[in-house]
Amino acid sequence: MNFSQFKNRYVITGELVVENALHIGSGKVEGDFDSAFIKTGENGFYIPGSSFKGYLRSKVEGFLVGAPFELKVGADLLNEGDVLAIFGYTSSDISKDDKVKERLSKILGKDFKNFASKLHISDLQIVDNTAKEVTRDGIKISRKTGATVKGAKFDYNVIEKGNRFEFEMTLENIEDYQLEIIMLGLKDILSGDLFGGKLSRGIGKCRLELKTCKFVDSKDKESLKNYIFKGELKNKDLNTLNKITKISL
Amino acid sequence: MFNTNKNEIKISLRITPKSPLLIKASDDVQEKGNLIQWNTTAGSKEPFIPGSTLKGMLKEVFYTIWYDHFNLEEDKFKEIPEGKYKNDDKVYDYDDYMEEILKEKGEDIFLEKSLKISKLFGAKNLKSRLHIDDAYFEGLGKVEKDKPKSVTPIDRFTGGAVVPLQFEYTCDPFITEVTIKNVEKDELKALLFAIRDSIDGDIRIGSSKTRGFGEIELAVKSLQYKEFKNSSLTLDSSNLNLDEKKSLKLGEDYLYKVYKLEKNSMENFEILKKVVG
Repeated sequence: MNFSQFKNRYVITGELVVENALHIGSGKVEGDFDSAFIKTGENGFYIPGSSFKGYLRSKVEGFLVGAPFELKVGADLLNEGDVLAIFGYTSSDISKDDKVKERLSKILGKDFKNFASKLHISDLQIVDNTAKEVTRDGIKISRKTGATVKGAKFDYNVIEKGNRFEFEMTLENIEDYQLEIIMLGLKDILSGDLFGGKLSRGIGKCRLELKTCKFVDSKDKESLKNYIFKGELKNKDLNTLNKITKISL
Repeated sequence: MFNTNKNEIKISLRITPKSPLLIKASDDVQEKGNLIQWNTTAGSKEPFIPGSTLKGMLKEVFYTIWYDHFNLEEDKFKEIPEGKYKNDDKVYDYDDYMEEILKEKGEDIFLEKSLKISKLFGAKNLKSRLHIDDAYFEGLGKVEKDKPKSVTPIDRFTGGAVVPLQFEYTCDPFITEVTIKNVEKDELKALLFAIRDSIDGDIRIGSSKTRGFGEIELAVKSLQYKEFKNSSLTLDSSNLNLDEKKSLKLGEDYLYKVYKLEKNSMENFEILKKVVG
């Protein structure tokens, strides 16, 4: 498996729907607010692709790292090595566990010190450019006195329910079973899951709606020709994406 | 702890106000005058109870139940002013203190014994495992705007009445959902105690609690329990129904099973007792 050969390419698009309210902090104090929603320019609210990638990675890790069960593909046991082979790594990320190293060199065919991610998630831009952020207040209550703690008031900005963000994920040279692992990771958010910041304060429920999946596979010479010369990709039925067939327990 | 999938429980709760309920809108939103307004979403002006209000209420109940039972040490740190924490004649700041304890006792012991509350509700450097949705009206509930409750403050100097304050309020039920990841039995039991306390009339939320506002009753509307293969906590599933649609099968085996409980609320409380053990 290497990046110098083109094997396949998937482009999956959809929309992330905010079901109650969403907070992605910009990390800056803005005006009077302690934590504003991240944006470019005036109203260009967006969710960084890295936020979504991090969410997906933690979901996949939940299945493969330290889980009370083992996932298999044929006779091969999957482990953290599979996460690294999909999401990429640098030498400092490699676990010291021999099993992980062994698995990694088996997938990649060689010991690589670093490996680029096979998955790219674009920044998720807000669909409605006129959407406004809303401020929510938080306050700390002292468990001793039952009253509010002095100076403990804080506020943060959220995007309210009903807003949508455009989602686009590109996968390159991906194996079938790796695509299934990614779909396992997305399973929760397809029916609504917690995403973003300030989750335990009641916000952050989002649902991903997949809209299209386009792909090209180098084995199919005709579609490869169309892709190279015309830039056309074939449509894939979204239902087939959800079928997990190669992985077993 | 967050990497591992053991189980997940989702409990849909009905919050029924037993006395007028008022969750105040923030000061920036309040219109001028004597009317104290309800908290609403900005766009659709829909009244809601923020998840943080409910989480704070639950934390309070959990704290009361667990403080003696688990000999929580959290308060020891809170007594020391200016963010300095003292142990064995050394003074640490909070982060250093946490680091020191982690090194000394190992993560599990530290979390188990000292900060059981933080382990569930989150703290400065621990992510919360408990999430409560903002609560919205169950049906076509409404906030009483036309006939607000009034409270007449007395001027302490003259002894005379000043212009009455008008309070918007509601008595209609709300719905919220509690999600706990990798839940333990103690946590479910404490949640059950919170529901029982609310039935006994001990739980109040929102504004003007001391004036008789804010008594609420909690009831379980539905319960969904997701159990991963080989998970450690097994609820008594004889009272729960397997939800094939939501469960995930890989080949012949289940990656996770989803159980469901959907009956009327009071009956659920009794069944819950059996399920939790």
